[in-house]
Amino acid sequence: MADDALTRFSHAAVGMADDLEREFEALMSESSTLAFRVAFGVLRRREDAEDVAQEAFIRAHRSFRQLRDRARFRAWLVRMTFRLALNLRRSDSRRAVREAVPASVVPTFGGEDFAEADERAAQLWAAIDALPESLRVAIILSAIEGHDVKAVAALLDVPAGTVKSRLFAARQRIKEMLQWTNTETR
Amino acid sequence: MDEHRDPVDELLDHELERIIDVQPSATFVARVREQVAAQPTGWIVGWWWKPAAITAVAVVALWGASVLWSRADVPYLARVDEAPSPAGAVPPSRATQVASEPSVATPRQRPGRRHASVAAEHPEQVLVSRSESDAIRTFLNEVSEGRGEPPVFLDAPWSFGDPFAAIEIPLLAELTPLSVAPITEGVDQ
Repeated sequence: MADDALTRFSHAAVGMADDLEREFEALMSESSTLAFRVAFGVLRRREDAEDVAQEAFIRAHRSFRQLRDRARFRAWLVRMTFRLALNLRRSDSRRAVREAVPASVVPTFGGEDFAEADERAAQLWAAIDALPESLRVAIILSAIEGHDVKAVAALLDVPAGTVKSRLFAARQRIKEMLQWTNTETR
Repeated sequence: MDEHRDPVDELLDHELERIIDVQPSATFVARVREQVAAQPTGWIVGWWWKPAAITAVAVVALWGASVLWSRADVPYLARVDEAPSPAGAVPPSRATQVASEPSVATPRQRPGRRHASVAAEHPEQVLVSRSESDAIRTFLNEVSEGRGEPPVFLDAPWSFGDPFAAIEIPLLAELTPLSVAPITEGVDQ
C-alpha cells in the first residue's frame, strides 16, 4: 500500500519534472536568439555573447521551477542575460583597454564576425556604449525583433511610458553623439 | 508606428536593427541544450529536498518532544510506609508533600535521573508516578467519605466492604476431585 503510494508519488514527481523539461525546452528554443542578441548588444563578440547566453539559460534552467509565471520567462531571461553581459564586460580586461580609447577614435571591428560592419555601425555602437544602462537596454531591445514599446516594457517590467521616455532620451543622445540631424541624414 | 516620426529616428532605428541583426552560430542552441542537460537535475532534487527536510525535522521534533514528555512523567518517589490507613486517609496536602518531597527528588533535578539510586538508598520507598499517587489519593478520599462513583471493578461478584481488607475470591465452580483407575492393560508386571 505504502509502496504503491510512494511509486505513484515518484511517477507524479518525475512526470512533473518531465513537463518542466519540455516547457523549458520550448521556451529556450524560442528565446535563444533574443538572449544571444541582448548579450551581443553589450559585448559585440559572438563567442562572448554565446557564452553569456548559455550561462543565462543554465541559470534559468536551475531556477525555472521557481518561476511561477511562465509568461515572464523572456523578461526574466533578458534581464539576467543583460546583467551577465555587463558583468563580463566589466571584468574583461581586454575590453577595459578598449574602453580607454578616446571616443573620437572609432574601434575597428574586423574579422569574420563583423564582415558587414562599416564605419557607421561602429560609430553607432560606440554611441550606444556611451549610454547609461537603462537607456542602453531599452534601445537594444527595441531594435531586436521589432519590439514595440509595449513589448520592451514587458521585457523590462516597467511601464510603457517609462520605455517611451527612455527610448526618446536614448535616441536624442545617440543623434547628438553622432551629430545626426535632419539635414545630415543620408 | 507613429506616422509622423522623425526621419532621423527612422534611420536610426533602421541602423540599430541592422547592426543587432546577428545570428548565433548554428551550434549555439545544440550546445546550450547539451549544457543544460549536463546540469544536475536541479528541480527533481529541488522538488524533493525541501519537503523531505521539513518532514525529517518534524519527525525529529516530534520524537524529541515525546521523549521529553515521557521523561517528565518519570515516577516520583512516594513512601509506602506513610501510606494512609483505612481509618483516616491522608489529607491531600500531606500526600502531595510526600509525593514531591525534596529529599527524594530535588526540584532542580530530573526525577528520572536519580530515582534508581534513591530507591537503592531508601528500600522502604517505592516508585509511584505522580498521576498514579494522585489517583490513589483521590480514590481513597472518596471511599473514606463514602462518595464518588464506584469503580467498574467493584461490580465484581464479590462485595466491597473495607477497601483494605483481604479480598476473598469466591470459587466460581465447584471442583470435585477426579479418581482415575490405574492402567493395567498392556503393562508388563
